[in-house]
Amino acid sequence: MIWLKNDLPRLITLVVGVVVLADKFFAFDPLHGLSTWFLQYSVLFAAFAMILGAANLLRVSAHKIRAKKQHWQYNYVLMIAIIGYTLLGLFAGTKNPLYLSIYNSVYVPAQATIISFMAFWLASACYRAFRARNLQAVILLVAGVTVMLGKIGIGSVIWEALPGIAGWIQNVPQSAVMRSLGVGIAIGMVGVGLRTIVGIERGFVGGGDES
Amino acid sequence: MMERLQKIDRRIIFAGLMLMIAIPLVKPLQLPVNISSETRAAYDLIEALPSGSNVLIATSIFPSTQAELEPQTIAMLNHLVKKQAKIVMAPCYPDTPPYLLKYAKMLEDAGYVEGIDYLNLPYLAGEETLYAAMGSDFKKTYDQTPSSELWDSISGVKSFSLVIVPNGGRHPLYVMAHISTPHAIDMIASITAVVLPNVQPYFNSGQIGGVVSGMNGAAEYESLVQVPGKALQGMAAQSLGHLWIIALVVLGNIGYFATRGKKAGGV
Amino acid sequence: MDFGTTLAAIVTIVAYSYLFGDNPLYRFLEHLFIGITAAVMTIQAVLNIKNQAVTPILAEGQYLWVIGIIGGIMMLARFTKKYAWVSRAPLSLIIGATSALSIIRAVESEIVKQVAATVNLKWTSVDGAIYILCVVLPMAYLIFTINEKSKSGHAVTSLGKLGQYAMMLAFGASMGATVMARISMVVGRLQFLIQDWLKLGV
Repeated sequence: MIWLKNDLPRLITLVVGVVVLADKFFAFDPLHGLSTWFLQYSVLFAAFAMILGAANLLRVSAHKIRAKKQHWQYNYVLMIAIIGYTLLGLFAGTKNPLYLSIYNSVYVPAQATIISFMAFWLASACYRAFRARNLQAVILLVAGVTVMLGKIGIGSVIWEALPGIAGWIQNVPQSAVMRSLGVGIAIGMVGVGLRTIVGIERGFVGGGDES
Repeated sequence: MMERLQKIDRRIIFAGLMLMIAIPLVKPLQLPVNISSETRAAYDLIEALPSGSNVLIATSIFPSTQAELEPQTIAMLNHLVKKQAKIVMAPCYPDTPPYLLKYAKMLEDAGYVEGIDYLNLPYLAGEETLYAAMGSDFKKTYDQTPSSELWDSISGVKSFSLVIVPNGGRHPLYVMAHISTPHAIDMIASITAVVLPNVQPYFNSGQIGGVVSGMNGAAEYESLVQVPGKALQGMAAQSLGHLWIIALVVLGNIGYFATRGKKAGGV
Repeated sequence: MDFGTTLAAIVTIVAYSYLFGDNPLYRFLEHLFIGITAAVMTIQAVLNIKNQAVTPILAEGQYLWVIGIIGGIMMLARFTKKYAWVSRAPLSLIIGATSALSIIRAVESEIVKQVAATVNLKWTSVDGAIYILCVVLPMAYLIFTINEKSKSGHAVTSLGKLGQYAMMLAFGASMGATVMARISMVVGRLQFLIQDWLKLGV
């Protein structure tokens, strides 16, 4: 039983990882076929994982209603929305006019507006936290303001050279630093990936009884 | 007075930002558009396409990114229609399919016929594994797509001359690694402005052929294809929004330095 | 002004009301929105499973997909405490595949090609020289496992201080790009309210 719970998952990771990696280096049709199947299964399992997320949300909402947590009544709205809209989409179809109306008139504006709050939090943060305390902060602020003005129309109205300077900052020093950081991160990714495949990293083998 | 400069109520900050953005939307203001090298490169890639080329748009547009990605997508679709490209759209995010219905309508209004000139593929989960699956065996990945003239003419991902990736995250890098580079297919990253720093090094190295970034990138593309849209209309509003942010930073720093001087010199 | 556009405008205004204080209307909208989000994910997931696995099994006899369906059902076992361990097997397949893909992506695209592009730069040009410096100096800053007291360690640390300035320039530019992206979101919303709904400024 322990073998089934702990060792089998690590064996699966090892086999799948090696097959997908090997497919990159060897032109061998059966290997390519097996690698493709593993990738297809990954796509399918990811879809099942999405259902898990929604089911968990239903469970958490039901718990909040039972436990009468703060604003518990609103969880009825959440549960009705999940169940009702899912049934509408599955039985009437995702091209159904009612489905698309709710999507375009409620879901899209709600999400787009809520995400736009970030602009307001950013404005507040810029006002409260961006202080030119030292040379590094000054460089950061000057670069930020240059890009903010240079990449949009008003930059060339203020100073003709501003768009060119903003473009240079993004193309040369910013690109170079991000490349430097990216290479470092990529080296780390190779290490973590190899450790995961060979079974040294075991954190993902979680969930349920460990014994 | 200087201390008050550091204590402006945040609701005033929020209202100010809204007002600064709203004014140029009510009273439109024309500002010049400077074409960046990344947008020019993206435009040139599509402009160089032979008529009837197959183009794959692997898109993850959703409501949070639509303000930037939708004008970009519409501008590029207008350009692709001018080039009579055959367009295959693959949604790579659960919220994307309704947007493709909108773009399908736009293509049909331009005379495109589904199955002959364009296709909408179904949504599949997985992100990086999906792109790797596409690169590994594109037809098998979308096995259940009904037979049509366009679908039957595609043998695999190599049938595409160009891949466009509208996305607000790391997907362009996944497509670069698993589709564009292994199969030597040109690629355009159509991204939100916040992702540009991560994508820029790959554009500079030539791994990504063109980048359209943010609403300003969309405005640049709209001016290149000469089909004005939401992005060009929004540039003045964006400019004033930026000026408000800069003014807030300056105000905050004036208050900070003035009070710091007092604290240092005072009793 | 059609009903759909007006409803969308009302939703937008109710959502923005949160900026000026939490209120019951916003809380109602928030829960409705979260519910619809989960529903959209579920619908697309079910359609994915149907298109990718169920239809090939039933219509075309592709029985290898039965393994996929069984694996997917095993994923759902994560929902229970007692049998959550059953989900480890399909999860391991995903982890194995994504680990391998990340190694492939990292080695080919993010290390080899990026280093090659840097080495091939014209270091005799101003831009090329600055680019190479801005690649190397931040790396010097990020080496934390060096003995600062040794001569070479001291040299690396000093170079690293210059790397800090390069990083601040880059992060400042990133900040500018972030501001651009966030402001665009508000521009999009207000364009909808003012131009699409109220038909002003068009």
